[in-house]
Amino acid sequence: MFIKPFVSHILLLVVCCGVSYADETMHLKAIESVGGKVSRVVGGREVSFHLGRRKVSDADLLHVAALGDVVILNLKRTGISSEGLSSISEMKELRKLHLELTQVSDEGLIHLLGLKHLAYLNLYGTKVSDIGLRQLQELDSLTHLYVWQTRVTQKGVDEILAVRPTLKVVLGIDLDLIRIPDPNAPQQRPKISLAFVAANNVEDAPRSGNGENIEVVFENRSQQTVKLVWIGYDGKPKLYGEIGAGKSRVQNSYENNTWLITDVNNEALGYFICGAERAVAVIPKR
Amino acid sequence: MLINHSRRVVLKSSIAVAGLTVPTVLQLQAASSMPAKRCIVIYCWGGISHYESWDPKPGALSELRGEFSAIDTNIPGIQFSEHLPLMSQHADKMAIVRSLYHKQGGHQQGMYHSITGHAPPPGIKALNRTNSPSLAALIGRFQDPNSGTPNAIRVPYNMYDNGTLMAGEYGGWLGSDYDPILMRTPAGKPFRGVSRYTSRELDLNLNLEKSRIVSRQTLQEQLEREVGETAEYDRLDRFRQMAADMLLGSDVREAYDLENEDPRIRAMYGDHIGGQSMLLARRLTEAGVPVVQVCAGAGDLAGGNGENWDTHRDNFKKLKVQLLPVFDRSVSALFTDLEMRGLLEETLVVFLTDFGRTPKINNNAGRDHYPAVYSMALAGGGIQGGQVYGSSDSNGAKPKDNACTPADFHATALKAMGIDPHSELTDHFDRPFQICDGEPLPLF
Repeated sequence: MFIKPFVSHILLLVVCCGVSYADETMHLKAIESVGGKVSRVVGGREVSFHLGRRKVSDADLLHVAALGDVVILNLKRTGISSEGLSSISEMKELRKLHLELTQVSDEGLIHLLGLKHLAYLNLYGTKVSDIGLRQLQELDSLTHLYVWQTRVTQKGVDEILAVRPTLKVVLGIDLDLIRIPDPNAPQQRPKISLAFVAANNVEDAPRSGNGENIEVVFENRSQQTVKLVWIGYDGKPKLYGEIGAGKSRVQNSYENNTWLITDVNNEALGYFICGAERAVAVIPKR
Repeated sequence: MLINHSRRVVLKSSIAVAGLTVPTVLQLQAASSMPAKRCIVIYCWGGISHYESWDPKPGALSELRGEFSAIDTNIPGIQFSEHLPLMSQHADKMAIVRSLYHKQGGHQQGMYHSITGHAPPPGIKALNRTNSPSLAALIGRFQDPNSGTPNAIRVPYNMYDNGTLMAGEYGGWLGSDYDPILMRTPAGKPFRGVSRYTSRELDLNLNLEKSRIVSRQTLQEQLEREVGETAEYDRLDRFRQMAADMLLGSDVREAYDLENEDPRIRAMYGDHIGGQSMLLARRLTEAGVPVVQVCAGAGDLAGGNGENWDTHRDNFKKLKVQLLPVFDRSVSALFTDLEMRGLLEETLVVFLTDFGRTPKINNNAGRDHYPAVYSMALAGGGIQGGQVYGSSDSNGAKPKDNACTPADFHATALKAMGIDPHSELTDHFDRPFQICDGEPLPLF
């Protein structure tokens, strides 16, 4: 007794959609065979090809159109062309359409003009221009339109906004205005200088305290090679390296760390205590 | 694990709960009202100061208001801290919640409450399978990504406090299948201070040259050595399989390689791991990863040293020089980028933090932990931008109106993702859990 109402529901579904169960299975299989994913969303179905193999041809879209209740279609980065959009004109329930990064151009947009529910249209990275945008003025339901990296100009955007003032059109930024930093450019010399405290004995240098992670640029302006020695938190000296006469060295350090400078014979010359900021530490001429 | 709610059932039940008939649902189907498909969680580890971010108090007494001024945003009547100049031009995309509060004054407890939406149990420990799942793990649980695509990813650090791995940012009772996988951001100047990795993170470079990845088997062997040492991980096979799928060439692998990105876009995010991690989050979500969580600061709080939001000392200098510039630039770049690509409508951006900071400035020019009121934000994914929900009092000391909890904030995020916050899931022992105790805020 439960079967009868169930069957009648199925029949109703088939009549409503105009697609037989067998046909539907065939269409779903065809969509999946080219990497499409069909899922149920509120109000209908979503068909996405953008995470699949993307080798979607214009003919494949006929299967999507045949489903009858597709409300979201994602063709991002697929091989779809302007001609292929002709089958989309049959998808009357469509609310969201992703065509970004495809070969679609102005000629294809004519196929979208019958989509009376279309609210979101993504054309970023396509060949559409102001001419195509002018056609889209007819789309009453459109609320979001994306045209970054296309041939659309601000003038074209202004034109469509004059007709559809509530439409959100995203033209995006001009990437050429972004300055790309040169990774090989020398870093600016720090403005803060650490005081050099002259010392005759290694023991004169106080043990390190801790604090913020900073950077110190040691500049050896003496006439000799010097040794760079870190005085540990326990007061023990640890050799970090040598800096030749006239050379410099960028050293990772921490606030309140002590750096002792000795000559090559380990005779103390003086020390620096780091502050909380990136700084330069000049080893003076004797 | 037994699951009694598929996403479809949840969607259906949320319609039923709301008492909407199908025609009403159809009427609501403007593009912006569709549930979000992806989520980016931005976590300010350590507790971002509400005063110095989204709830400045220019009229407060000088010992409270601090050194920074407030600036107008692109929405009249909404002001941000002066050190968020770029983000202030994206206020139209953001819903700021200024009346959040909870009762957890410690980092572990505050972070756990904020990231899971549930109060922490006593004696909480990381990787315990009775812990609540993080927001990222939970949202990921309801998604169905393609094969080889994790449900959720975290970048670029684990959260630690003085060497102790924190509980909260994992799958908890959802099981290890839903632990968000940690990936190292492959580029960018690191946050100064201490950031730690376990042996488990997935570095897709993995020191494996491409030429050495000749077969799945050799790759598996490599991965076993690289990530397979921690035996307590119960479902390592799935992890390895996924890693192998990703490494052998998938959209996720391609997205991970930031060298594939336009250098101008990379520059827009800034040459810092904070910016490059946001860029990675955009690339990964675009490639089909449903949820990416970004730790926006150094991974280990290390007693308040280093570039994290735990500003007990030198709050103003640290925020002005180190933290806010990276945060401002990277978040603004993310908003710009998502919007230009038409992804912001489908991508929910959620900001989380442990708690706010004390209104009174301490003797070290810092602010201490303050859970009594703090600010967070949501953007994209059907959230109505350009609004502030709730407020704190004139001293930024307690909620003045529309007080709300981390659970309410979670319920809002879940609703934006099309997930009924009152759904039940079952754990390993078939015990039912209601995923969220809060009520969605009216931000849609």
